[in-house]
Amino acid sequence: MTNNFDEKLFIELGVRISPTIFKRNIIVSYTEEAIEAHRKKYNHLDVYHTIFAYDNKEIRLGKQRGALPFDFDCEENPQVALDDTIKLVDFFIKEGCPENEIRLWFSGFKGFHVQVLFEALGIEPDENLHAIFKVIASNFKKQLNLTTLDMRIYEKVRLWRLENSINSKSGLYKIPLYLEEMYLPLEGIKEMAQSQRLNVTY
Amino acid sequence: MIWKNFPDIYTKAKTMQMQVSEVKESLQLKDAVAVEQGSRDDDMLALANSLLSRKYNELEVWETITKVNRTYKPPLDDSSMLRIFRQATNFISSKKTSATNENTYLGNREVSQETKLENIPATNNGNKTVSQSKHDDMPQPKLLSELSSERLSVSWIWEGFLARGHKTLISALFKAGKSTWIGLLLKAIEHGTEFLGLRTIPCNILIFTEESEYQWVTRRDELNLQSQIYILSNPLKSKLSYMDWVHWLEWVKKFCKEKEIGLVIIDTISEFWSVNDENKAPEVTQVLMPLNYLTEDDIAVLLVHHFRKSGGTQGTAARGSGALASKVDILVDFTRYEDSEETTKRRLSCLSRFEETPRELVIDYINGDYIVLGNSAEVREKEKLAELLATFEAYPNGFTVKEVWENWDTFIQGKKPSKRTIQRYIARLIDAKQIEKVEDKEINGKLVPFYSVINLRQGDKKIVKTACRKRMKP
Repeated sequence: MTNNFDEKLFIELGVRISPTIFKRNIIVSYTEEAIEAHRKKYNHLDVYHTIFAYDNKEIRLGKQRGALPFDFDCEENPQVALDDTIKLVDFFIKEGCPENEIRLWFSGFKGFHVQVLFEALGIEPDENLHAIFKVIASNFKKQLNLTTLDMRIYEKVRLWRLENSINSKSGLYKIPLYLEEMYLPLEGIKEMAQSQRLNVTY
Repeated sequence: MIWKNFPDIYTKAKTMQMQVSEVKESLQLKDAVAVEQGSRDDDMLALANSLLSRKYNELEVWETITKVNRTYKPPLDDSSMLRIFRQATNFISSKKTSATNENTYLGNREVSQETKLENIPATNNGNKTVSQSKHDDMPQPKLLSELSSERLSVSWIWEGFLARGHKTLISALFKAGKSTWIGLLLKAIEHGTEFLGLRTIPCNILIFTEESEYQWVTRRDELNLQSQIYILSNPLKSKLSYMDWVHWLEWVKKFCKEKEIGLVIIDTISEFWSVNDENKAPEVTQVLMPLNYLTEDDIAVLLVHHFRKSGGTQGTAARGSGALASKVDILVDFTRYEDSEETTKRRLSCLSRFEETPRELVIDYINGDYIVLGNSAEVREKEKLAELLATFEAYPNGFTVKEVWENWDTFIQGKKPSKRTIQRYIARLIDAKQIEKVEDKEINGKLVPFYSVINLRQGDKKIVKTACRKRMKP
């Protein structure tokens, strides 16, 4: 999302209640308190928020403001997803992206999330940010042969897991990682994901 | 800090994205533009419905109709546009949901009403990747040809009755002996020995019980249960809400994973679930669905329930809505075999999706264990054979079929069988080498066979007190 909370912006929250029931359309101001309340209400389990924040309560009508997101998934072999993650992050750094503007998470199950913070992108909010990001991601995917990059996330309203929430599919947490930690063995990362990781600073 | 190269990358991508949008727009919208006052609402709704049901996702539709609206004379206001858009998405969503509900399952899980209400309206499914993106976490249907045969073979914890990834419901009257039955089942599973003649596989077990810990301590010590059996006794202080129930099952799932539980027993289901009116099928159905949390992790679930007072047959005896019975894979009615408080015999009548499940078993609780007697027909025949044998024992000189029939005491021996049936019983006893034909005597010009108990010779002073006979224990 963005690095800064802003109560004038709106986000959507969601929660997976059961394998077949997903509750969403919970529109709140983009504040830390609202997110924390949601997280606590559902006991940190399978809680989601939108990738973007919106400048309109009718979020589908709003301009989007958010980080450039990437979702790497590989159920058969998450190591492949990790390898793709490393490839992309290394490429960004080589292309001049400031390291401290890149965020990295283990998703808690079979993949990794990467974001470049909105503030680092030097762009303005846009109604079609998702579609533009999709074009960008598509180019990176081709250029770097990122086979595990999930292109389906580039939607106007897309939810993804809250940091430090539990992924019920594995019982592990979605945890933030320092960039240097992406070189750790996958098992080591999974071990870290057995509990929340609250004190990561960039 | 700014990523200096990025604005260039972004600008190029934006240009490309706009070009793509314009091409799409020009292809799709040439007949839908410049509508004048009078038919704008209807035309816009028709356009939105058409786009949603054919090729585009919600966002694309919204963007498209917004652009089309700019060509309207005059354009519709924002609130009208939103109303039309919502109307269209709800319409498409309801069509999709009803089709799903009517047809079948998604990955063996029925789509709930709540999904329909709480999830955002479904995207259309023309463009494969766009359609998938809305529901990427939802279970995806598989081609029948792609199903793994591994998943098709059932992994039994107790053959025919408890399968991993499936639900079994056992219903019984109060004090019918369910807990005794469960105790012996646990013992068999612990040792991997046969239970009621059917094999078991050891696994860790989690039991939610309405009985006290004291009762379970007694049972544990009596049966010498030692393995990984986890008990949660009377944990609830008030009725759970539906959400509590869902969260509770989520927690159970997690616990099961941690402790490698293979079987979860909920005794009784009505003590734990959130149902307020168990006669309401939708409520019962809704409450049973989160049990999939457990079955999807390959855990066998045994639900214990009470009978309705009026009883029932063929799986209808369980109290409350029939939805309960219809949503499980194996249904077992646990009843007394005879209409007597004293009887130690029990009947298990089963309905199942699996051919391994016996349709009926009659069991007898003898010396702290169950003996399988067979099905009802077999048990009845065994009882009749025992009566018949006793009759022959009382008449060591031998009896004809006609004499057996004439001397049948309905008060003691029960309903009088036909001569043909007696003939059949005699044949069985001969096969079992318990009686034999001793001679053929001429009666009224016809040779009639006489039968007698083997080794019971004429003149033996054996007295069988027929009046005191009891039905033989197998």
